[in-house]
Amino acid sequence: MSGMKYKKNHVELECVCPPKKFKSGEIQAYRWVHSDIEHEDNFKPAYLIKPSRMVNEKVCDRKCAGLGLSLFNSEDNATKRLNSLLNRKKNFAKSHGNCIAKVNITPKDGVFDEPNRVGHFTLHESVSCDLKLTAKIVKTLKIGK
Amino acid sequence: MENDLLKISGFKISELPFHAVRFADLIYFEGPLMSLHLNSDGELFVFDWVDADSLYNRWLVYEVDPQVLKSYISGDTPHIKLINSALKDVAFIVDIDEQGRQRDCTLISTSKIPYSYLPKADVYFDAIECPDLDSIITELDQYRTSESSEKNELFDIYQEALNENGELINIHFHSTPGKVGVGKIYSSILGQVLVNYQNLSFESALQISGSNIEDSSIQTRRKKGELARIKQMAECEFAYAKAGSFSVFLKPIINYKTLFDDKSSYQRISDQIFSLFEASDDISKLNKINESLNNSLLKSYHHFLKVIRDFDISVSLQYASPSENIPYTASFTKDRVKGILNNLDHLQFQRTETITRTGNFKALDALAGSFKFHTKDGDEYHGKFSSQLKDGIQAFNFQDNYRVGIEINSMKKSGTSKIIEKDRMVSCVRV
Repeated sequence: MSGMKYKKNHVELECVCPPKKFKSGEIQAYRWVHSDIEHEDNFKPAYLIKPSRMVNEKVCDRKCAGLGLSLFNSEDNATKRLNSLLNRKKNFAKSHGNCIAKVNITPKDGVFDEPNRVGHFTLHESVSCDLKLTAKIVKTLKIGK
Repeated sequence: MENDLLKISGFKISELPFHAVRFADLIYFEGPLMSLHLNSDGELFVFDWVDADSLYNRWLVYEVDPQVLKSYISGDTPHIKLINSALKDVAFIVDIDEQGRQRDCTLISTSKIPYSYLPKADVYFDAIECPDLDSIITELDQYRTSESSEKNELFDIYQEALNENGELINIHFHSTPGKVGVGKIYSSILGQVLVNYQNLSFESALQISGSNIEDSSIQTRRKKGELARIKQMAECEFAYAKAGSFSVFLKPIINYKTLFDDKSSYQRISDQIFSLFEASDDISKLNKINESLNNSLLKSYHHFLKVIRDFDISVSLQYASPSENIPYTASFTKDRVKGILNNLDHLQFQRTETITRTGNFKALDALAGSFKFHTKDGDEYHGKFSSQLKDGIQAFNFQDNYRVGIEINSMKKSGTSKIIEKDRMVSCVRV
């Protein structure tokens, strides 16, 4: 695996980023994307998407996570969480899209943690990682009124 | 990010009028989406992310009662009710950039929050979204249980209107001594409030209808059948009731639109009624709005409030139309009703309008310079001639028809409910 894509940002943090427990591997994952798969924010870490909501974030682990990509271990988990947020925040799709894309992660793409109880995990990309190449939209969620 | 933030109507201020520090997040995904802030006085504010453009995140900010927040976290109160329960019934909409700089801070009534900024009605707290539950519970434990959390539990009226596919009015009752409970209400309270609300709607319909008639006056005689049509405009039918505490949903029986106005008749009635509600907290605003309202409407509003006061209950009203995504909301607590009734009693005004009528004289007094005039429509006016006309009284008679201009001077003094009206004839031409 080559170096990390956002190493410059990682070294500015006061904590170890990515955390040591993150490992590389092969996994099928699901990510929220805009319907236009070419959308510039689709595979950009949250911390780098303008405008970031991480104003004055004090927790280093969160800043670190913001430099990774949010993924889910199943289409169902990705759908549930996105639906939940769209029901609360009607404009959430403007920032995160309303589609679910399936991507294949290989060991050369970077390191990631264990999915949590709702199937969410974070991928810290290596320089050579480009998830867009394998991304395929598998579901579009309704943006309800 | 798209550059299409909604323009917000409200009271513009340079920045939030308090300094509060974020201490926990109720929803977090790649940054806070709903966070709790605390100021030095221990007041709690929710920052709810609602939108963003390429430079700013937009937040809906409101102060919450700790007990209501507890109820939200325990899953008893939905997210939308947390917003509707905002203290002082106000919220701020503020844009904040990545450096934390504020732009375009607007103070608005919670009833004016754009629909697209509100969560769906059935969305409750979800611990999965909340990374800081423990610290929030610890913080909230510091607040003693207070009795002040008896906020009205309002429904998502817009969602209800969408479900019903039509305009909807919700009258929500609340009381402490048990006259109103969950799904229960004294029939006398229900009856009196409904009747008085109906009267208020009817008077509003009359006012609206009057304003459409050219050369209108408070004495206008209506064409046959017109009054029945106006009554229909204000008439509602019972749609359904809901528990919590007790809510009655009504829907208008007709949807009448004029050629030049896209609003339905009931929407126009609601526009007027809710504007009156909003203005009546402030005597100067009330005086201003009063210039365009007739006395019967104010009287019916007075009666409606007296029923609420006399039964010692709280009443909230909501109106929504599927075509209008900003529902109207007004709440009448005991204290608010007391204040408004006081304002109505101290309302004083004097207004003058000139109308033109055709008819004939029934009495003429050259010495006193007075007249009695009957219009073709059957209305009667009596008063004095203007100084210009007074010298020519002997030229008028009882046989001929005249087209006259009558100046009507209405006056109400502070502390009285009686309106004194004086008529003065300012022009008279034989036709």
